Amino acid sequence: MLVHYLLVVVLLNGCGEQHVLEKLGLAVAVGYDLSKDGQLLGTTVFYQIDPEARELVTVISGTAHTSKGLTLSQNRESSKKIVGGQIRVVVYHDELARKGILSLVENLTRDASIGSNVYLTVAKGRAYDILTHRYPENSNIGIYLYQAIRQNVEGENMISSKLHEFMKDYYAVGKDPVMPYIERVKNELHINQIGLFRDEKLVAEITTREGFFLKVLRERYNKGELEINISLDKKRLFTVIEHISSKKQIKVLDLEKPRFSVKVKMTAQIQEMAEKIDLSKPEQLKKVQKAIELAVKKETEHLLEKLRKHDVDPVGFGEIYNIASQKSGKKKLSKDECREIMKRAKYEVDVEIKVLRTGVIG
Amino acid sequence: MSLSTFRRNSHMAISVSLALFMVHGNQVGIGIAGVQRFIYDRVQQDAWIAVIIAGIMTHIAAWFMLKILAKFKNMDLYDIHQSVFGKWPARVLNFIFIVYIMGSALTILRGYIEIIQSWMFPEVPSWILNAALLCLTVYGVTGGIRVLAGISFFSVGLTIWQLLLMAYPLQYADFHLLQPVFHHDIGQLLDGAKKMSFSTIGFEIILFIYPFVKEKEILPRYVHGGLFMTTCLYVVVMLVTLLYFEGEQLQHLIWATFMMMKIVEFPFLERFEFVSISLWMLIMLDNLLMDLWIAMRGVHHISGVKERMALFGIVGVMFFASNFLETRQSINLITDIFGGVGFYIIFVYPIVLYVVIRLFRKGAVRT
Repeated sequence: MLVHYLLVVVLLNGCGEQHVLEKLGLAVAVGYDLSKDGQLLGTTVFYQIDPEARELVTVISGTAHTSKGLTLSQNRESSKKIVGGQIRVVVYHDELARKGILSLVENLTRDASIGSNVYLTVAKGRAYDILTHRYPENSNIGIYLYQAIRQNVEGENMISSKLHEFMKDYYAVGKDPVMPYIERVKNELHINQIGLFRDEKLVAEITTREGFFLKVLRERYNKGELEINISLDKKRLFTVIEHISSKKQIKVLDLEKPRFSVKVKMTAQIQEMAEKIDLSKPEQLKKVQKAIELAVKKETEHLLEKLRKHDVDPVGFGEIYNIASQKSGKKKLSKDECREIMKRAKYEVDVEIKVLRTGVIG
Repeated sequence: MSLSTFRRNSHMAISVSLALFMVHGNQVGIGIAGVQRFIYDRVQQDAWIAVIIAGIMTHIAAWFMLKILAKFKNMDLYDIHQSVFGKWPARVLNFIFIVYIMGSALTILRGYIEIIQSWMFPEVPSWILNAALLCLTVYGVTGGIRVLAGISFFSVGLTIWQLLLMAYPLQYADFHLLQPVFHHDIGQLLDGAKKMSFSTIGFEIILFIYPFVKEKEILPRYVHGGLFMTTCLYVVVMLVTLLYFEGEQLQHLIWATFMMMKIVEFPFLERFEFVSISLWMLIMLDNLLMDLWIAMRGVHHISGVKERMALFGIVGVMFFASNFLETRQSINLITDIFGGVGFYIIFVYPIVLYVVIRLFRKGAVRT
């Protein structure tokens, strides 16, 4: 039986198309732009495994009407067959993202050779300019970009936007996707904004600082740090809290006039105080705690107001509303109905902060 | 005594504990790769409840089957038909069973080849894969029932660990997606459970392996054990799927289970689903082997053709028939047909047969 099994495996091996590594271009990063004539401009960064090649990383670009058409046109220009199995980052031009990118993203999921762990990003300016720029310190922009995003996501400074997560948020009724917003400044890449999507269209961006409060509302926090401006005894001062872990609880208070209670519970450790305050005294610590609570509450409210103004819902309030309204016996809302209702939403934010430690000094 | 009782010597018998693996292995096949969206289509977030209901249905059907079998010691379904209905009606019924079994084997075979073509080798023509797998099947089936039992054991043992990989998609779980719970009435849930039938059938093999099992009196506990294992497996897979995918997203996915595997990533292996798809051949193989073995014995029973000749005939027919199933639509259609027919044959028919036997064959226990 085993011999036969192996025989079938060996015989079938000859049937498939061969993928010899030396003849392939392994795409690592892909960028999509809107070209002037309304077509897509695609840029692919790929590795070539070739001992004789002078450069290990090559960038190639081309225009077409569809993303698969891009691959075709790029293949015509390349001596290697470009394959997508190693793609780690996809960059979308913000102009393009404002017009909607669902078909492009969906195409990535349709292709069985592309994994679900690909990071999606939006670029300020053309992806072409970011990917073709020569960064003196990094030979492979694809890997560099990937590591920069992953490092920030794993350090919980950035909201993750993997291919799977984008699709999931897109399809959710009452939840919108987000993406890291990257920008090239001279020879460096900066990730200091987050792009907010309404369905498939980029509509606004927030800073990574606001992103912190968004992340608190979107998911659980386990680590991460925040510099925060608090007012203590009528003085304004800065403090840094770290090792933040947070839990949120969002409830619908009123179905008719949509009203949500947003409860955030956070534990943290104070890392730095800009001024000398004796934290070993309980009443002082309590004061600081209250001040941080107030500051976090204010910024969260500010963020929610901003989200409502732009008519986006990356937190997923709509989803929670939808469940509550189904429980009360109503039909499941559609995406548009849900967005319409969320326009009138009011939020009651309640923040509770517990300072666990104050570093190694009191 | 009929022809199929021939060669029933002790060296042909299989240990009763293997029945657990045969039942479980034969239930789990190509269905688990993508059944989720069909159930979701009916009962949305309550799909996992429908799966539990489907599991309970298998226990009920198996209970009736075992009751029937216990009445006729040492007979398989073909013999039972003959003894209950007489020669000609039995032939018709047996023929229907053979066609059904061959149809479901064909669905499994074509379904698996479709997966290979979509994920790995789109340019390989189906007939090559068909021929290769059918050759392997012929070789396995001629090995006899003990070989098939052994393959079931190994197929389950070598693939069940993949369940642990569900931990990866669980990292992305969103528990909102299960709410509101119990939001469908029992009729809808049953309808969802019915959609599951193609994936839970396969335990009907006990109707055919019964004469070969050594300690028949303790067979029921192994059969129900195997069914319970299957139900647990499906519930876990269904729950993880519901938590991992947004509903509408799920409805676009043909093979949700493999789509979930896409998120699995090891430092030494980035795309685990390719390994998983290759391993699926083992999962699918024991289905195919058992089905063709049953069909072979059936053809032998109704026509008297030698078993090996019957097998070649069946394989020839399957090879020929699978050439007509090229597109996704036709595969969907055949899966739908055999899922629907399977529901009546596996879940309804045993009850009917049991009632018939109780009513008309009082005390007709033959050994």
